Amino acid sequence: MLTEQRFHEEIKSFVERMVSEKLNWSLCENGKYAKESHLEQLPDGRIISAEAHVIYNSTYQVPVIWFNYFENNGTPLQFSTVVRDVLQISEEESDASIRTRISHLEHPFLGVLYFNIHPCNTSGLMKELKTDDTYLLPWFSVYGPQIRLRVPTF
Amino acid sequence: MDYEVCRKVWESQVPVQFTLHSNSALGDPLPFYTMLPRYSFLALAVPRVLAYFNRREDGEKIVIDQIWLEASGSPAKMYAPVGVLYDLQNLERDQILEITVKTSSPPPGFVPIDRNAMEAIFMQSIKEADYLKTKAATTNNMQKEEYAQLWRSVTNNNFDEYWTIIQKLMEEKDGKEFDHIPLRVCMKNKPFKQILISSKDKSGSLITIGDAIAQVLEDSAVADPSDFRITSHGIDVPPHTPLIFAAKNMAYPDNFVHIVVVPKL
Repeated sequence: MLTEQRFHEEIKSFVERMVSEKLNWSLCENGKYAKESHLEQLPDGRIISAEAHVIYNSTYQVPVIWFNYFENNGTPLQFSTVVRDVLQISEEESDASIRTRISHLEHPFLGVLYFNIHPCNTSGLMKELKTDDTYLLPWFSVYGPQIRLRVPTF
Repeated sequence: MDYEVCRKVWESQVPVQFTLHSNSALGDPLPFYTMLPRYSFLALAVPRVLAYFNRREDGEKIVIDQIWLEASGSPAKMYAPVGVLYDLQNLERDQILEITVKTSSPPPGFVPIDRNAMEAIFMQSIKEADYLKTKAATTNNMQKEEYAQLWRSVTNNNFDEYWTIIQKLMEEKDGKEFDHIPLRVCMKNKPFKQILISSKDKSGSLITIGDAIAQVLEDSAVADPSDFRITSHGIDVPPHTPLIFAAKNMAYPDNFVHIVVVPKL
């Protein structure tokens, strides 16, 4: 569990650390959350823009990754394109199963649907990790790669 | 839980008009009129609406991926309870909620969602609400079939099925009171607001809807809360209503109490 206050203290150094690794992170809404964006290429050659946000969830008292992918004209990609073509999750896992951990929900600051990686197991999982010095970096090393975000070496 | 209150809340419906704006050379079909349960979602109604619009054999077929919905000039959230959308319009009693179905390019971030995506959003809300109430003690012990039953009751408008499962979700586990109250506060053209709030304050007295809304509005820097109506299910909620009563009897099937705050007319 991470208090909201500690999240706000840590999110600044988290972003600084990412920037020092030449990753495109920044703070949004006066430091309420952090944002990353980059371009990706789909298997069919299309270029899409990727956006990921790290936002505090007061219910579960953990950070959550929110993300979306957009076509050139700004249209968000559909669920099936996201999970199969971008995240490349095997067809062996059904849509219904994927949706128990990755699905749409209203973005707390933008008010439109974004994908989020469900926070219901985060706090249990974080008990297994060492979080004395920093909570966000070990947390991100587990959750970032799930949507293929680059993790700094630490 | 009060059976009569829950049943009344469940049975309440609102009139909705769907109008197609497709710029078709053939012109657009007449609007589609329907009554929708307040607890339901536009995402569940849209397939029926499109089937109606697509009846003309010579017309172009409209599919869900190409549409977006608008209510009085703003994008309409397909995943919000219909009752919330209705109350946000601040209409006179029994006025029709007018939804425009558009095929033009959607506003930034609009995602049309199908029934499966809607189900996922609904289930995540159920789990979050239960985490707030019992730290997930109830949902962790629910069978897969019980989740399916709950969703089926919503999609099939079956109160009896709903009643058996909702009692379990509203039960206080081992006599332990709910930790927190699942409450979402909705204002027009804004993301919903959620705060971590208990049913009682430190001195043990019950926290009311009025207290909770004051706290949310303070965070949203609303100038004067007395300029606003506090509504849910189409009625003005007495500010002294205890949160715990609202949570058990006025929650939508997603297990959240949705309070709509609109300017006084």
